[in-house]
Amino acid sequence: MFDLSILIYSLLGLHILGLFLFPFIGKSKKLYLYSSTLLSTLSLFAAAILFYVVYKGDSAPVELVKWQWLSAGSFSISMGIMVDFLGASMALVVAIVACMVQWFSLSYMADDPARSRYFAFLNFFVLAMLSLVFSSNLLQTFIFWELVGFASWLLIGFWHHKPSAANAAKKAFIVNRIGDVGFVIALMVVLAMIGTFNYFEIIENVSNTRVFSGAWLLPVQEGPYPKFQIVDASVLHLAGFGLLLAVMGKSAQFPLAIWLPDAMEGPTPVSALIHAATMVAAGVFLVLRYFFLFTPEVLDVMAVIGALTAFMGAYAAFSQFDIKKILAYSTISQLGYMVLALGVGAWSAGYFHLVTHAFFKAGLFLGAGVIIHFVAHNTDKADQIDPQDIRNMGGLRKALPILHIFFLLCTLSLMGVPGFSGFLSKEAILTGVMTRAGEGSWAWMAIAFLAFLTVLMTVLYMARLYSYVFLGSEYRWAKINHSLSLKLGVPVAILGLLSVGFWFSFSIDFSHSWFLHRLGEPLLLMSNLPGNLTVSEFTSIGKSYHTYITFLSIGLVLIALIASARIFRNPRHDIARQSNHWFAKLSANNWYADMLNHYLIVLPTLKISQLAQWFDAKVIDRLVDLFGVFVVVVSTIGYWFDRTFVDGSVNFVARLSAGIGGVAGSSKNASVQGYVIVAVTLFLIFLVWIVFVL
Amino acid sequence: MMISILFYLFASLAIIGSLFILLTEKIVYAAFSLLLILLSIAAIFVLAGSEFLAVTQIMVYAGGILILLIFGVLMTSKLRDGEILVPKSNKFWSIFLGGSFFVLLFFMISQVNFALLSWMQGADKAVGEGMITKLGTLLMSDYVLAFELAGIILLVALVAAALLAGERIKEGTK
Amino acid sequence: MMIGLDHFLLLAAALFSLGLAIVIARRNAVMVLMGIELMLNASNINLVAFGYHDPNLMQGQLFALFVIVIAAAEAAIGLAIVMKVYRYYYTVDLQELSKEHKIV
Repeated sequence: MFDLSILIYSLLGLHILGLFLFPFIGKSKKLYLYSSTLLSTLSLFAAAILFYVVYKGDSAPVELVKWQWLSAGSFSISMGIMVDFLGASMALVVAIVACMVQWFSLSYMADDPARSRYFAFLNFFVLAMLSLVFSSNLLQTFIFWELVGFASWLLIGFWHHKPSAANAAKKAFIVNRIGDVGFVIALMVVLAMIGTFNYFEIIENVSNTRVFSGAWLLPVQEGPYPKFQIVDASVLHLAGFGLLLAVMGKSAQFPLAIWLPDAMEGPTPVSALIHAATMVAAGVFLVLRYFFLFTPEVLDVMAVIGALTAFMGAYAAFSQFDIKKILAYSTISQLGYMVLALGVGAWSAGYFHLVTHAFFKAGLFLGAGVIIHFVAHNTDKADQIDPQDIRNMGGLRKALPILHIFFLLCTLSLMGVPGFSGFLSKEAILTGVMTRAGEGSWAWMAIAFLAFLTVLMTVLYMARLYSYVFLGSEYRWAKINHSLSLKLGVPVAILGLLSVGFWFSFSIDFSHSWFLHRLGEPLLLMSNLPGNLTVSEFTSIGKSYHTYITFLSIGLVLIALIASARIFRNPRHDIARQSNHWFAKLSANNWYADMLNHYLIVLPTLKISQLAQWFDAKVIDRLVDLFGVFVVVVSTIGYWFDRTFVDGSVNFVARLSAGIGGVAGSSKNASVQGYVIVAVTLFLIFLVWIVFVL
Repeated sequence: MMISILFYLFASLAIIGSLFILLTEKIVYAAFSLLLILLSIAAIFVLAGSEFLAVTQIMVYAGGILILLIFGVLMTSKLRDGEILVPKSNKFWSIFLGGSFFVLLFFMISQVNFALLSWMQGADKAVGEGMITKLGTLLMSDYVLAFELAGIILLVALVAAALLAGERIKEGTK
Repeated sequence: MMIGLDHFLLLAAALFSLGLAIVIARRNAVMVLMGIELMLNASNINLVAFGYHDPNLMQGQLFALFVIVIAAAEAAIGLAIVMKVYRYYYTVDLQELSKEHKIV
């Protein structure tokens, strides 16, 4: 058999080569750009061969390479390369999108003076992302997780001379740091409780343990009379919530999603590569890989967060006029779908959606890049119009006919129209959600309702985008004879074709998809799926819901298409144009995330602290004074006591709450030291928990 | 006995010095107080049997880093009435977090009985002769890779610092 | 006569906490760098104190040596950045830098 490690080495080596060519031939831009693109095309072939070999091979994950990184006493940390179908297919997705983006950027960035640096950054990002996919060790995953975040910082802030881009890069980086605190906590829990970071050793150690009525039994001694150490099972929840926090940061989930819309300040191909297809998928990939570390309670929270994110993202996409912002909110919404799928236990559906979404969203972003390019180059500079504003487009169906076809393919796929890949994966997710909701309470029905509502809204906002950009009768472009250049067109075309459903399944029934069959079932070690279902029960219940979900979602898509055909035929009917309407205002401001922070967290804590101080000054001091009138000596002591302890504690509580509110709530006023305070406080809480609770 | 007295003397010097840094308004005083702390820590290294490290500490910290810091202070301060005053903020948080960190560490250290640790009992107590020779041998044999890497890191850091701090005048900007 | 290991550890804990307090409380970036140096030194005391009981391999001392090297590099880079920031904004006050100039 083909030696897989050679393939992976060459896959990584090509990008390392691409990165290290930069200092040597980066000066001669043309040579470097073309060699880098060629290398990434070669790496696409390597990834395709790897995928094929793994697809043909047996399904169990294998660790190809493992070497000792550091050791201290009996404890050691290894590094390694592992590969399974999950990793190989993810690598293929990353390689395809990265290759398309590089070809696209050859033409798109042709006028940028720093384009060599840009290509070096792209190589660095792909290198970090592929290493993350292949790493066999949780700590190694964390290292590449950080490198991916760093690459994203470099690329969002690529035009760092624009203050908005520099700020967006910083915002993305810092919001991700909050998630990383969770990752570090999870790392500590895993090391302390399971004793290893290695994927296979974690599985081996964990499969020897049992969770038994709220307690977790860890084997201490093996043999005929095994000894167990009993640990409170809440430590498992802690690890899961830590990882969930990290995922919320990286994959832009509800409270930490604020960085993704800002990240659109980067070049458009970067948005396609990082903020649609690969980097934001790293969070979802982490959950996919270490699914067995998540307890059902954590998964429940994950499902709620995912559903909220899906709904809120779709809603916020309604009233944006910036084409990239619409796609950004749509990305948040689709990522919410993936996280929701994982949260309800539909493991394979979540991954399926990741793959299909990567292709059609990257295609949409690259298409948007072409459109922005076209608008910017074909209008008078004197007009001073914003080339990203969809109100300045319109009628592009005639001007860019070929792009229009492939953009439409991606759009239909995102809408979930039958026959496209997005339909299959969305169907799989909805079936998973209904499986869970059918077993659960009304709260689960509400989550399922949100999921179905988002289907409707997705169609609406994408139809709005489409009709603004391509329909309409603006003949501004009529005179211009614009032929789409091959380098810009081919990547969009390939991604558009990849979002057609028959790549994944020949029928419209997702359960016949070869992809899902090959992916198999999630590895569960400690507990069942949420709702105490086994994997086979989950699948069989899903089958019973399957038929009517298909009809329901096709019906929803049809209704939304008809509705949008009526609404958006005339742009004046677009509710977003009535800027005073509450619906438009709420959506355009992304749910007033910043204001909510201010009113819900900062002001109440300030009020509470004021109240505490008033109480302290008026009531406690008065009482002490009265007391002092009666017994002078005692009152002196009492006064002293009051001054130091009572005041002290009241002030302490007041300032504590004011401080927490001030630091946590001020996304705008936060400072370096504020972040230090938050980080150290979280760390302290964790230490106290470790020392006193465990 | 004598060693204990010396230890406590230098320990209290170091702690008083760092309290002074925390509290003082004058940044130049803080820099010189840092010198005091670094020298006392060097003395404590001697008491812990690592003379070489103590000398390194004096040379690198007191001789190098501190001079850098003082230069930094002088070059980044607005002079107001001849004195360089620096404000404080987050007073509550610094006291709360620093205090609770110390209390927690104190608690954890007091929980551990170090005499029971196995490697502690097995350790050879012969300290003193030939330590520096041994250190040099180890640096050139077992730790040679780390040693070389440290050298490279220092070189890179120096080049980067010079590049960062140096003024580059571009055409068109100034 | 030997001084107990816990004495060293307590001294290091106190210095580390004070360094942390300095990092949080002082607004001048140079002072924050001083606080970081103090914290690094405190951890060095720990390493040396443990290394005292390991005279054969001397891992503690060697590790402390490398920490000093890294600290030197960190101080050089940190001060260079501070100088750059000062030349650009004419202040090294962290609060001012975050509130008024919005650089983090």
